[in-house]
Amino acid sequence: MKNRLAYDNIIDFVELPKIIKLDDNLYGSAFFLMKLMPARFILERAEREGILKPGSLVAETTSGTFGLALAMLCSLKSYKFIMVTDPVVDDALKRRIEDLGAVVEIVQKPADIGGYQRSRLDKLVEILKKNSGSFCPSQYENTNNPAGYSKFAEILTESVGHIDCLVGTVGSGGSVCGTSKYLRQLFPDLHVVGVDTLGSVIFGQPDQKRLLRGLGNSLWPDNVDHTVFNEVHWVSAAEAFLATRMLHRKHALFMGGTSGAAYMVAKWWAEKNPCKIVVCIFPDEGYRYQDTIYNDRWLEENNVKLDKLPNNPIEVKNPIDAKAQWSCIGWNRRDYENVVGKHKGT
Amino acid sequence: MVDSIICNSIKNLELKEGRGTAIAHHGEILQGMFEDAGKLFRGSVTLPCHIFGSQASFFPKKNSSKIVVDPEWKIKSKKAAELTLKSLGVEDIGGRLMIKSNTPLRLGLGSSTSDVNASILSVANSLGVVLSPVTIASIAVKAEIATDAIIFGERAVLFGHRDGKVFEDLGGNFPPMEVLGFNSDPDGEGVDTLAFPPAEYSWQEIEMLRPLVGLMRRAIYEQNPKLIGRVSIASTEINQRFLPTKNFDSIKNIVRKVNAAGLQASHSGIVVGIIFDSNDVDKEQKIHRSLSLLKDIGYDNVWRFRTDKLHLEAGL
Ligand SMILES: Cc1ncc(COP(=O)(O)O)c(C=O)c1O
Repeated sequence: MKNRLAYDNIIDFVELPKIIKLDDNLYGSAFFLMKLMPARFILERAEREGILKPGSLVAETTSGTFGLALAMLCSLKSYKFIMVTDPVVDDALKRRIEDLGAVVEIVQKPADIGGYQRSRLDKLVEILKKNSGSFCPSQYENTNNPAGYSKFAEILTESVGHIDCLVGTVGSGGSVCGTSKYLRQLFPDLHVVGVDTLGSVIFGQPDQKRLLRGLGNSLWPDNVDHTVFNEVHWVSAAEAFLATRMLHRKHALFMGGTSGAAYMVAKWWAEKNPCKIVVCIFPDEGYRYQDTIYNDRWLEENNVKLDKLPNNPIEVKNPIDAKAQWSCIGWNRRDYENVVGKHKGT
Repeated sequence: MVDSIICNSIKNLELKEGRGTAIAHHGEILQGMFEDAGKLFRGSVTLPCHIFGSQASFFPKKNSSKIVVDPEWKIKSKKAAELTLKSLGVEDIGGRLMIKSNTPLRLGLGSSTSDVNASILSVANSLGVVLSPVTIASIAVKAEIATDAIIFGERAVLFGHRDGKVFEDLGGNFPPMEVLGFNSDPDGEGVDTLAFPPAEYSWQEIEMLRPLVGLMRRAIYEQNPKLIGRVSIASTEINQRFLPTKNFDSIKNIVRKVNAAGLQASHSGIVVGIIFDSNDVDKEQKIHRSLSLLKDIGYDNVWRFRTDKLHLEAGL
């Protein structure tokens, strides 16, 4: 029996997910805020390497949960934190981050080339230049993002045992690629399923405006190692939102939209492979989405209300053939060029 | 330190010949640098092996403080006997310590730990004292700097081999396994385990070890030899940088071909074991096939043991 001692801080309590059995061969790992894990790891490695000194400034461009995670950690560790973002940042999140003592810097104009993503990066570089000794966690390139998932892999092996398949959404690539590499030491045949959204360039779709946030990208993060993936799925916002609601209704798990996307794919895969043990990643809780995903009126107004999920994804041979609804491709651990037929960004 | 009641009773005791026996181990299932409450420690899980072991006899002599050990070169055992007497608060007793062992040296079977444990037990026994495993381990580590968890027998523990203490009880005994063991480098000269420098783990390796500990806990909970096999292969892989295992790939191939539960290798020695689930109905056939495949790559001196029945049956 483990002694139940008081936690030193909230991070120690919420960093690890709860592992929940959803079916005979399907487990969900429900995080309070998954990004706390890489954010903490990145900051602590930087502290140990002397790159991040007490009281310094941390600055990052993000519009989502990575910013919240950094704001919580910087508040507890007494670092100054500036989050650079654009007008899409949701107001409740902004206020929460500011309440933690961080400065939220909103760029007002998209750059002529590269849009908001570019103007945010420009602003970030300006801030880092102005403040000597400041530190940028760079979740998309910093290899300590994927490396930060060792404790997640530990709780999975301890709670589940043998694992055949890991299903998770891909944004920076840190969670799925990092966790897979740790797990493959023990289960070299682990089948890894990446879940992206239509209109994200990560796995070769043309860039488009996307309603489902948290996964997907308009750029190719270095932390996405394409050779990790056996299988890739693209899901639409409407499908992910309905699956999120089903996860809530069926299992009382109140999670965010990327959890729904992962759940839909994992449930399908687990039913198709009843003898395989499947683990699925749920990266954040549902509170941020109460007025959107959990609000039928909002779903109707945005034309993303579905009554039923497709039984199966549409199998495509080329990423550009994935259109409008849930699709998948046998990626077979190839690199990007091999699957897409051209280099990233050309 | 043992309290004064025991010490007083020792003084009044009739001294007698003391005996102690200890098993050896078969190298590590898992070894590395782990974290406990924010601090790093060197830890290992060793595979108990009862076919090798040591038997010590202690012939005490009053009004002497000198211990003579036979064979003379077993100075760690001598030191262990002295430390045992000291920890019991006894000052005027010396004697003769005789050690018999059937454990081959320089393979990583923990021959020295086995001698040391047997020696501590024999001295305590001659004074009529029963020491706890925790105390024995703490004396052993002082005698030999790095010591293994053999005193805990079939109980699976994550043991700090340089601290001489259990960092984590893994929650149960090892599952019933059968092991085919052999010297992976019979023409080599072996490894002096204690002279072998401690591995310098990178922080990446320390992170890589975490999921291995997780699966180790699970393996004990499930009593699943296959999961133990996964842990030991992964741990041995990490250790290749510090001590490459001879014919590692060929041996792994045999494990795959016969569908054994796994393989384990000493992390500071050259002994290797192929692990089988004792409850596997095809076990005998798999063992038979492994023996023949091992022979094909030059290993014909192979021993066999179980992990769940740890009485010392060695031909001492
Ligand atoms: C809610 C949510 N889900 C999923 C992800 C994707 O995780 P990763 O960046 O590790 O690929 C993110 C990343 O920001 C996220 O915020």
